[in-house]
Amino acid sequence: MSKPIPKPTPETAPFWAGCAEDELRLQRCDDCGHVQFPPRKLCSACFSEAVTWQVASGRGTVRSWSVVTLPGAPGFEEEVPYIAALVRLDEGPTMLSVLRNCDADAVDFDMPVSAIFEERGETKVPYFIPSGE
Amino acid sequence: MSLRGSVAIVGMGETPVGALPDRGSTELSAEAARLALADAGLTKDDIDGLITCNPWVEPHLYHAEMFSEYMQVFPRFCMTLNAGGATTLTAVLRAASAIATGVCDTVLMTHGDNPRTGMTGLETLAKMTTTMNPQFELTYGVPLTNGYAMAGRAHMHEYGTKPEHFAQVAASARAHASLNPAAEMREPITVEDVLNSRVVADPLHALDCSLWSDGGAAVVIVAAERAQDFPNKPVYFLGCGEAHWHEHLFQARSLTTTAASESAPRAFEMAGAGPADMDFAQVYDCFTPVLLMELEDLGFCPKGEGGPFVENGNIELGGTIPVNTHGGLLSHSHTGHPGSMFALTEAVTQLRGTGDARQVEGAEVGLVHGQGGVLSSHATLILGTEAAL
Repeated sequence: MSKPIPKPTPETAPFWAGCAEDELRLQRCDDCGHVQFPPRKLCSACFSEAVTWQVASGRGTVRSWSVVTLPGAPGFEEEVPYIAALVRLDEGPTMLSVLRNCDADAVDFDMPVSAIFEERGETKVPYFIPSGE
Repeated sequence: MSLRGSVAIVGMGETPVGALPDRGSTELSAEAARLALADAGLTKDDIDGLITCNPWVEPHLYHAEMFSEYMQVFPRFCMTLNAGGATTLTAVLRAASAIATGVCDTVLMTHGDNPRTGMTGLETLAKMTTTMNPQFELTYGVPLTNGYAMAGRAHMHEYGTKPEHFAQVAASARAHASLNPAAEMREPITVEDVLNSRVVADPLHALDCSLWSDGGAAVVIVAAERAQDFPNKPVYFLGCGEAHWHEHLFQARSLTTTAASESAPRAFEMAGAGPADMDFAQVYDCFTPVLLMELEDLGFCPKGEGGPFVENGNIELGGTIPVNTHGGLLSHSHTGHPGSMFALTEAVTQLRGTGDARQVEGAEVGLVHGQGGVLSSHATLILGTEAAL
């Protein structure tokens, strides 16, 4: 079985369109400045509708991590072991992702990481590598 | 109006737990219901309120309606609840609210499921994925065990908690289970046993993880004024509080402080009591770090000191606060959504004083806490005997 392919909804389509162009895009509220992920119609801080898409830095830091040895979904049987991580983006929000080009023993709290994009079906999926790689 | 002392649990029933290949989830709910009604000296026709939860095996979109049809009971208050492992406690709050406001008189809460033998591994995996964010979690195939592992690792980093502390939680649960003939795993284990077990999702070992079981349990709840009319010692509702902060872990406000830090003060305020007044606590322990964080957030020890707090038998019988006297999800059973029901029925058992070898001497007030999702939904319930009213 192949890995699940993310199915964009109208409000997430710009995010995935960004990934396809190797860009991490996030929504920012024009009224209060809050940056949010995942995408929403409204600002989750002030409920304004004035949320606009911006290209993010693609940089973040590791909040925590754990090595996946038993896949949590079909399609990842060939990929284990891999490093699941919660990455706090420099703009504020946290993403769940997977670390590439990195040894599990070398991961540390607050380690700087940068987004890369891997092909998945018709789209691309954001992963992270240690910054400076 | 306060719900404190407004209702009481007057009946409880527990099916066996473990691998029960001869029974489906609906049967387990029915069996638990029959036991609870018999315990209360009631018949099914006395029920006018019904709360179920949707099982993983034999789920139904309108589960409570399906189950009332199956039982041929015709309630005027009927609902299916789903707050994961917090379901049981949120159900008690809704039952109390319905009875106190005169919506119904006699509520049956019954939850059963058989995910251990009723599903294949692939079916279980497929079911698990339905709780993930389909675009931003499922895409990475990360199981919820690794989610809890990341929270546990963050606690280690922030507070200096050690794998030995997590392991102690499992060893203490097993110590209680060894005293409970109904528990699934009764062979005592040591901290070393836990640390020597297979690493499932670092830093979690196999014995840091709860069981996966078939089983069901039920309770009957009535207005406090009627509580003395039943054969067994009533157990009174003193307070309940909930807090819901997120559904998916990547949206969590904190990886190390849970919404129990809000649900517990709400429950304690209603009950007019505090952590130091509790004679025992039955606390959600799907993975060992969760119990440790909850003990802090419930107020049993200062934030960050959960690790040292669980040492030296402090959460066992005779310790500061006996926790999960039945063995918990780690050693009694984890039946999925109904998991917390056994924490509730154990609290009733303790407050009736019928806990035999695992009885907390003189137990008058106790706490039950449930957690659903990945550190998501939290609900805290305080129960007591008549003396605690």
